[in-house]
Amino acid sequence: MRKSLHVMLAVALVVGALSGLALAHETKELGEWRVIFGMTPEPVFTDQFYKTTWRFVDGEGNPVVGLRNLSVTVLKDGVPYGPFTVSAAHGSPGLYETPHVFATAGEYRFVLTGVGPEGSATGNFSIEFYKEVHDVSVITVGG
Amino acid sequence: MMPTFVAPSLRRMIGAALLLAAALMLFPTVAGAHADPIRMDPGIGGVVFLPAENGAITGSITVRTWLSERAERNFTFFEVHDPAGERVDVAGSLTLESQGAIVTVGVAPKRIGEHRISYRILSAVDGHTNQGNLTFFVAEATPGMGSALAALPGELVVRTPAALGAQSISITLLKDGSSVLSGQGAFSRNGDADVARIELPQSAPGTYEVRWELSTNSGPKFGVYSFTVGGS
Repeated sequence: MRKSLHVMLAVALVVGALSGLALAHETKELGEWRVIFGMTPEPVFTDQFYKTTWRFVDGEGNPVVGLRNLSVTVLKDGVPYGPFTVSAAHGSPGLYETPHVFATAGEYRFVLTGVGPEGSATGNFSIEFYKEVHDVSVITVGG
Repeated sequence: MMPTFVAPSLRRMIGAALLLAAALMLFPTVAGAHADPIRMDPGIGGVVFLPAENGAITGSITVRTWLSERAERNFTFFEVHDPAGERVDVAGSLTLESQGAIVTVGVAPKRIGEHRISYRILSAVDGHTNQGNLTFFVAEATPGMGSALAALPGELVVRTPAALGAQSISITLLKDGSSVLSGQGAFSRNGDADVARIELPQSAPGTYEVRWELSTNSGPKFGVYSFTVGGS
């Protein structure tokens, strides 16, 4: 009985975590591609190390590899930071990433620019997403 | 008894093999490492809006480049050339910050256009050299970056090189930290440049900040610069 309770609890935690993850990631259309934007981990707090990620998939769900000259400019209240170079993630085709640490809380705008794969119809492109960064001081432990 | 003697030597062999494997895994990483530029201010392909007088750029900037490894000062070179091929980096201005991880160089542009930075960097970590090119655009603005004006002009005029392919510009103007204007302007071709104008508010002394967003053929570009009015 106790064992099955543990299993149910574990399942509930996994489902909860996955749904949270799905909610935290945002998807946009870019021509024939879909771009899934997110941070690892989420939610996002100040003064912590994060990987900002973009997953590119085509209309059939296949990863879009070979994107070139990827860079992201991060804006807060209209003030730009960067552009920062964005690289293809190791061992995960179609995933592109760059590290960030956010100094202040608030809404950030991420404008990703790049060039489509060699020989593809897509030339220069740009796509933007928004992410809320929370003040790390809201995390309290104990009383 | 034999296994007692064989086992330690086997362990040593396995240990040596593991060490060799680790060394071989490490070697390509070290051999392939260079002091690569990973970020630049102004951004790679970015734009700076400088003031001008009689068509000649009058302001200057400091270009800051972040490297993936520390550089060795005596064997690191950055040269900046304007679109006419004239060298515009300030002699003797190259310095290294953050123990060689950031290279700064003063640039005194003379004309608008795409400027090319040619670099050669010796890594202080592994002794490898790396060379390449980075570019940024110089554009003209009135009022421009660092200007000190007696009064605010009636409009902001920006002139970008045609090669940039600017289509429109959006700005937020702040005075002493508070937003006083949000405006937009469309570019029209004027010779080898594109020009846009945005009406400015009534003049008042203070420190102004222009947060701008440029729409170009190669995607959006962003920046911020400040100027003063009335000697503040």
